[in-house]
Amino acid sequence: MLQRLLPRRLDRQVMLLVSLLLGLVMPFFAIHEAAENSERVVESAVLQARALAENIAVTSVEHIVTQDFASTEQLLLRSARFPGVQQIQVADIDGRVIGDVFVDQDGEPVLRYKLQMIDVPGDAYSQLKQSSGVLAVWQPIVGANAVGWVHLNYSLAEAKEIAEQYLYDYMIDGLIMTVMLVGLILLVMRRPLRVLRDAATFAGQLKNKHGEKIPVDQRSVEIEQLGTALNETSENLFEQDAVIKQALKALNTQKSAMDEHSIISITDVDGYITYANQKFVDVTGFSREELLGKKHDIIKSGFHSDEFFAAMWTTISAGRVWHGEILNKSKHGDEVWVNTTIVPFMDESGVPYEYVAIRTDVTEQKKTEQELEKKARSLTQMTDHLEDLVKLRTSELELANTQLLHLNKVKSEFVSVVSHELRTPLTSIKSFAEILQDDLEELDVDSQKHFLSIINEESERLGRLINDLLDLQKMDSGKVDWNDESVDLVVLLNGSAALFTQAYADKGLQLDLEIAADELWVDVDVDRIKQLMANLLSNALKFTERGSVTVGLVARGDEVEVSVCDTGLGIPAQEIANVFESFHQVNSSETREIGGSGLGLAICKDIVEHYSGRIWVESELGKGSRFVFTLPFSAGNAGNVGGVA
Amino acid sequence: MTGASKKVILICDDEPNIRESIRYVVEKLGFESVLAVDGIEAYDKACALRPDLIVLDVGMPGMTGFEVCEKLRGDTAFAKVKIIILTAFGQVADQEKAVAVGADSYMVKPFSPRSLKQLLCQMLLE
Repeated sequence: MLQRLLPRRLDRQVMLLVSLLLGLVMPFFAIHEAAENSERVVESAVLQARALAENIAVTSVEHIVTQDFASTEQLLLRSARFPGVQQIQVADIDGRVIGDVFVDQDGEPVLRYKLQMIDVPGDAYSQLKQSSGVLAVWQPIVGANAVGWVHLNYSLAEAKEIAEQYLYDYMIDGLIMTVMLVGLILLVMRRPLRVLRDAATFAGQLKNKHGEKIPVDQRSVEIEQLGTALNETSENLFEQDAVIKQALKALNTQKSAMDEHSIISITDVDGYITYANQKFVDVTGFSREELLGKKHDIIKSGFHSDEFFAAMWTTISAGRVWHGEILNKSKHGDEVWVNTTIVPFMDESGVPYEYVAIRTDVTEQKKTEQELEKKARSLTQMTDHLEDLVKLRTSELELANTQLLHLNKVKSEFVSVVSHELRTPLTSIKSFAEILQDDLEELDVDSQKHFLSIINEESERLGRLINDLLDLQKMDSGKVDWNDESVDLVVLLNGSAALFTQAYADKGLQLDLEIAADELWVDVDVDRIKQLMANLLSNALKFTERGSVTVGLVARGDEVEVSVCDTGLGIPAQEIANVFESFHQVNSSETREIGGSGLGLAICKDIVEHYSGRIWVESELGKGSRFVFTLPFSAGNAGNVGGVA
Repeated sequence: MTGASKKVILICDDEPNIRESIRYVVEKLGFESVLAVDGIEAYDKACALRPDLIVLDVGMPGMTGFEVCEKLRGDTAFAKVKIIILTAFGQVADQEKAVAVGADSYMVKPFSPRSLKQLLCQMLLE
C-alpha cells in the first residue's frame, strides 16, 4: 500500500524524503520557537503589569493618606492608557474602592462609580491570578503599614496575539526554508540523479541496444565506475551477441540440415513425446498434435520383443546412449526401419529428465540389404553350381586333355613307329641293291637270285605297309567309301576260308568252319569284311605252328558273333589290351621273324567298330588265341535268327 | 688277313634280311660274323664270345640296343670293344643317346653297305 504510494523514481523519492523530513522538522522548530517567544511576551506583559501596579501603589500611598482621591483617579486614568490594561481599581485595606477605571471598547479609560466594596486578599502580598487571558494583579499599597490594594486587570490577549504571530512567522519561515532546502538538495543532486536515471534507462535498454555507450561522468567515482561498468557490460553483451548469434546460426544451420535427414523426437523421462520434427511427422504419418503427449508405442511395429525395449530403457535410464535399429510402423501401416540413437539428458543430480532420439530412415537400405542377402544367397548357390560345373568341365577337360596328350603321344609314337617300320624293309632293299651293284660280277647266280628275292620280298612288304597305312588313315579320317549291302555271312566266311585253305595246308594246319546256321544276313561292305577275315586268318596262320584254326559263327540276341580260334603261340596277359593298337606286335624275336605290318588288327578294330560291333581276344600263352568280333543283324534277317540261336 | 687273327663281329638285329646284309659285308671284309636276333641273345653272345666289334640294332625285342650297349660298357672287360649302333628312327635324340650309352659310332637305317664297310675298316684295321 505504502509502496504503491511511493514514487518510483529515485529523484522524486529523494525529494519526497527531504520534504517529509523538513516538513516534520520545521513545524516542530517553529512551534518550539513560537512557544518560547510567547512565554517571553507573557512574562514581560506580567512584569509590565506588576511594575504598573507597583508604581500605582507607590504613588497612591500618599493619596490615600491625604485622602486626595481625585489624584488617585487622575493617576488611574493615566495608567489605564498603558496598553493591555483593562481595569485598575484602588481600594483601602478594607476593600472600599477609592478609584476605579476601566478601558471601554474604544480604548478610552472611563472612571466608574467608586463607592463599592471589593474582596481584597487576606494577606498583604502582591498576588497574580490569571484566568481566560486576563491577568489579575493584586498589589498592596504600603506606607508605614498596609493601607490599601491596587487591583489591576491586565489583558494578555495582545501577548498571545504576538505569540501567535510568532508561530505563524516561524511556520512561514520553516516552509520557505523547506522549499529552499529541497530546491537546493535537488539542485545539488540533480546531476548525479540524472546520470543515475540515464544509467538506469540505459541499463533498461541494454537488452535491445547492445554495444551502445553511455557518456561517463567522471565527477563521481561511483558514477564513473557505474558508467564504465555499464559500457563494458554493453560491449560484452554486444560481443556475446555476436557469438550467440553465430552459435545460434550455426546451430540452426545444423538443426535444419539435421531435420532434412533425421527423424527427431524428444520425450520426457516417462517416454511421452514432447517434440517431433517435420521428418518424424512425414515418416510416421501422424500429425504433430497426434504425437505430442503420446508414447512411441504409437509407432510400434510389433517386430521387436519386449526384452528389446526393456534393454533399451535400461540403457538410457542409466544415462547411457543407446544405438540400434528399430522397425516402426507408420499410421498407414508402412514399415519403416530406422537406425536410432537415443541420448539421455541429465539434470545436476545425474537423473535423466529428457531423451532425444535421432533416427535415420534405413528402410531402403534394409530392403537393399535383404535383396542383397537374397541375391548373395542365390549367387552363392549359382557359384556353387558354377563351381560344380567348372569342376565337372575341368575334369572333363582334364580327361580330354589327358586323352589329347595321349593321342598326341600316340600320334608321335605312330609317326616314329611308321618311320621305323618303313625304314626296316627299305634298309634291306637298299643294302642288297648296293651289294648287287658293287659285287654283281663276284656273286654267283644263286646269291644274285637270293638277294633279288629279298629285295622283292621287302618291296612287297613295303607296299603292303603303305596300303595298310593308307587304309587305316582313311578309316580314321572317315574317308572310306562303305559299300554296304545285305550279305549272307555264311557264304562270306566260307569264301574267306577257302582263300586260305591252301596256305594252311602248306603249313600242315587244319582250317575248320563251325557255322550253326544255314544263312545269316548282315548289312556290310563285303570287301571290308573279307579284309577283316583275311587279317584274322593270316594272323592265325602266322602265329600257329601246329594244330588247327577254327572259324565260328553264332547268332546271339540281335547280333552275330564270328570267332577265329587258333592253337598257336598265345598272347601274354599284359599285351592283350594293346593288340588292337597300330604297330603293336607282341615283342618277341619270333613275331619279328613272322613279320607283318602291325596294322592288321588295328584295321580289323576300325571295321568292326564302324558297324557298332565289338572285337576282342581271349588268349592263353602257349595254348592259343581266340579272336572274336560281333556285327548287328540286318533288319530283314530277324526271321532266321530263332533257328540259328 | 690270316685265320688266326680273324676279328669277330657280333651282328644283332631282329630283322633277318638286315642281319644277312650286314653279315655279307662283314664276311666280304674277311671278318668272322656271329648273329643275334634280339637284345638278350646279343648280350649273352657278347659276354660269351668277346667280339672285337658289335653292330647293335636299337629296336629289338627283349632288350634294346641302347640297353645292351650301356650294360656292356658298365663292364670294364668290354671297355675296348667297338660298338656301332644302328637306328631306324633317325632322330637326333637317338644319336645323342647312342653316344651317351658309350657307342663308338652309329648308322641310320637305311644305311649304305659301302659306308658300313668303310666304318668297319676304319675301326678295326687302324
